[in-house]
Amino acid sequence: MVQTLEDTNVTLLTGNEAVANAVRLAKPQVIAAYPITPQTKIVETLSGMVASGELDCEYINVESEHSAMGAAIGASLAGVRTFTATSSHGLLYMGELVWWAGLTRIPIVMPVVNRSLNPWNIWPDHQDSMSFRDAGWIQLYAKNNQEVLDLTLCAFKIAEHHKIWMPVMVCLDGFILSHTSAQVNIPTQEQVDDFLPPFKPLAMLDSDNPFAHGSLTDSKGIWEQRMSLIDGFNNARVIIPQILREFANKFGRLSGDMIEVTGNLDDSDVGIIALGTLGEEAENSLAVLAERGIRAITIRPRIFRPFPKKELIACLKKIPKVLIIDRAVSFGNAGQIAIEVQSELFANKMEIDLHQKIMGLGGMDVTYVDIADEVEKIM
Amino acid sequence: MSIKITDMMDRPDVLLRGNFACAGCGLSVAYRSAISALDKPIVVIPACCASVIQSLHPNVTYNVPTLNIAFAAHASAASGITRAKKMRGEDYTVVIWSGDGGTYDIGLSTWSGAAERNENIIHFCYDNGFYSNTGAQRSGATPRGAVTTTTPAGKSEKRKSVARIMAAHDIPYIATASVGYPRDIYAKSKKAAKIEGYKFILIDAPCPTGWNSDPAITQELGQLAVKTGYFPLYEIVNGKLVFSKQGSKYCDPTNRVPIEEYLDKQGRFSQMTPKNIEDLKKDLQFEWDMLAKLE
Amino acid sequence: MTEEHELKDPVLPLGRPTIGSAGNTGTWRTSKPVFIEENCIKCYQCWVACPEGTIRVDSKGEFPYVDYVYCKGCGMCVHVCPKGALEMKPE
Repeated sequence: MVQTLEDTNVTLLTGNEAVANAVRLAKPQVIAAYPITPQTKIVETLSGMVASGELDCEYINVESEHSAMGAAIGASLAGVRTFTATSSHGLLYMGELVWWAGLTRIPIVMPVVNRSLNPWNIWPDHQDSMSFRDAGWIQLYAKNNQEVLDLTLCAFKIAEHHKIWMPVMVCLDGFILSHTSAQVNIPTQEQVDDFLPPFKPLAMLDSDNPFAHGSLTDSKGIWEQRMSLIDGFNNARVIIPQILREFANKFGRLSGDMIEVTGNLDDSDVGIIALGTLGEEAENSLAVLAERGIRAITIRPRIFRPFPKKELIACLKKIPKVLIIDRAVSFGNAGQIAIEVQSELFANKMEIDLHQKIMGLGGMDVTYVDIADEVEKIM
Repeated sequence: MSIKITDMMDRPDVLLRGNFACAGCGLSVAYRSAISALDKPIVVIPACCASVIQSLHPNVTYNVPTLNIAFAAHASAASGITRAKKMRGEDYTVVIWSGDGGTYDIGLSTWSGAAERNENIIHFCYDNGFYSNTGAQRSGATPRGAVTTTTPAGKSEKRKSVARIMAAHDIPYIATASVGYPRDIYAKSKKAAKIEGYKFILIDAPCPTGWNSDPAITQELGQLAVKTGYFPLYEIVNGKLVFSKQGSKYCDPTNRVPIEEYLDKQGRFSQMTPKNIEDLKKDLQFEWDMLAKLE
Repeated sequence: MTEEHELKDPVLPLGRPTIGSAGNTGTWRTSKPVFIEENCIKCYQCWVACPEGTIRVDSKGEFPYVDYVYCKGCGMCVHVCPKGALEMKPE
């Protein structure tokens, strides 16, 4: 993208600032957050916006991530749009309530600035968010700072859709996105208001209509709620593409729905599947591979939960070979994307020459040349 | 504030009859007395007996808006509710209803944060001195010598003074109350509701099941705890401690009923040796002396 | 997933206030409190002591009565009555 002097909406923003700007435009009424590297700049920027009056919002400086999610759950059920953000160990410490929000359907939006887990390491991999892929949260993965802003705006609309009504994690790679400035087009408040309606609670703590939320429940009730959550994810598979399409129509970005395909799907030797910035790095490897005589494409899921099964299978039917790059490990098995793609291939009785590679753990640098080399090895 | 029992009848039942609570449940008495004093309460309940006695989904005994939340998340969730209702321009009394496990132990960090921020919340701790809903394990509130399922030979440490920890946060209102005096619970709850900021009310709530006591004497045990000096009744308003009317004369140890009368009525103290009783008395006097410094 | 997938509404974990949420808890009882009306001075000590809210008062000035459908028979009302207006009787 080339910045033109005429386009005053384009500015340089870090990924964290892109999140903060999206949140400012989404106008949540309660933000509760606890700082952790590399998420800090999100909450610092937002607390500044609240202090200056730019954002009319209650900002709760909680004493831990566990309390950040606790406050977000309480605020959401009290009837307002609610936001928090975290990373790495913060997400783990919050863990009990991440599940609470997922299983009891609290429509909170939370960026996870992806960072490795212990021993101490502040650089990116996906071990943190991948540990919560089963927790009843929708998960989006952004490839660049523009997509961080766009997906954060979409996240509110997805979470608060009355047929979805679930929390959403927007995952962005620490430092690579969070601390690197890039050109971002910031939409106007009018544009965002036209896309994102005000928060309309499906259930709210209210004296005129008292209920107990999350009370002691037997297996029958648990079954009913879990089946409903499965239904909710099935609904999300239908509704998320509609929301992304609406966003694309209104803002001219995020076309391509649940997954983004780069390259000629109908005429390729190999596909590369990767999330987030590794997906974008893979896009950049296509030209290198072309020079080496390999016709490659990238298949980058923007949405990991719900897992875009149908869309992935439609792509995989057209390519003879695939390399799946994971930035996290399900220890004792393999990378999470690889596991899930293999399961879908089996379910669809498809055989394909499948290769997997774990890359970029603990912030290990992965360049487009590295990815091209890995692809060449399997050819 | 003088409260008549008929004043307490003004509101419809906040706790509907026919629930999972044991017969003679002290927590139930405390809940009825405290919550019925409040205008438009929203109650946050962490893991504790109060999360069990509400009965099974989709039916609940609580007749007020209630949020059940994880053990160590009561004050954070209540903070979120308070701020959200403020943004919505709606007047509510946001309440934490936690047991001693959730207040003395696992939830200490979350309430400390909320108290430091002086969130507009009334935090009630119904204190039965152990983990009751998991079947009577030791907590930080268990008194020295008491038998629990995890201290089968009697607890060897003294009971934590959560009210003094709370006092160190310099919140505007702290009170202790007892199931022995339900009208006093009601009065203190009403008083707390008029004060802006973080309020804490510690309620001694006998548990016949866990204490191995006669369900019929739950209220009497509450009164005996006060009369023996086991559970001092006081208020700390803006840092200044005042002993409550029902309990002030027990500041003087010579006015106290012998502690044995309280202990003998509870199976949990049946193993107490004379040495244990002497140690317990020292613990109690130590607490009185520390409280006197806040007067 | 077909395009004509039916979009179901979420089932939220909401419990509603219900009398007898644990069933007819009166069946837990082994003995029951019985009023001796001529001794009652309407001090309502029994009402305030009852954990369950099964001591009922129709309106101010009325004699209290027991809702035996739910009374668990703890005997607290009998124990706190200052005038001997309640006694426990075996079921």
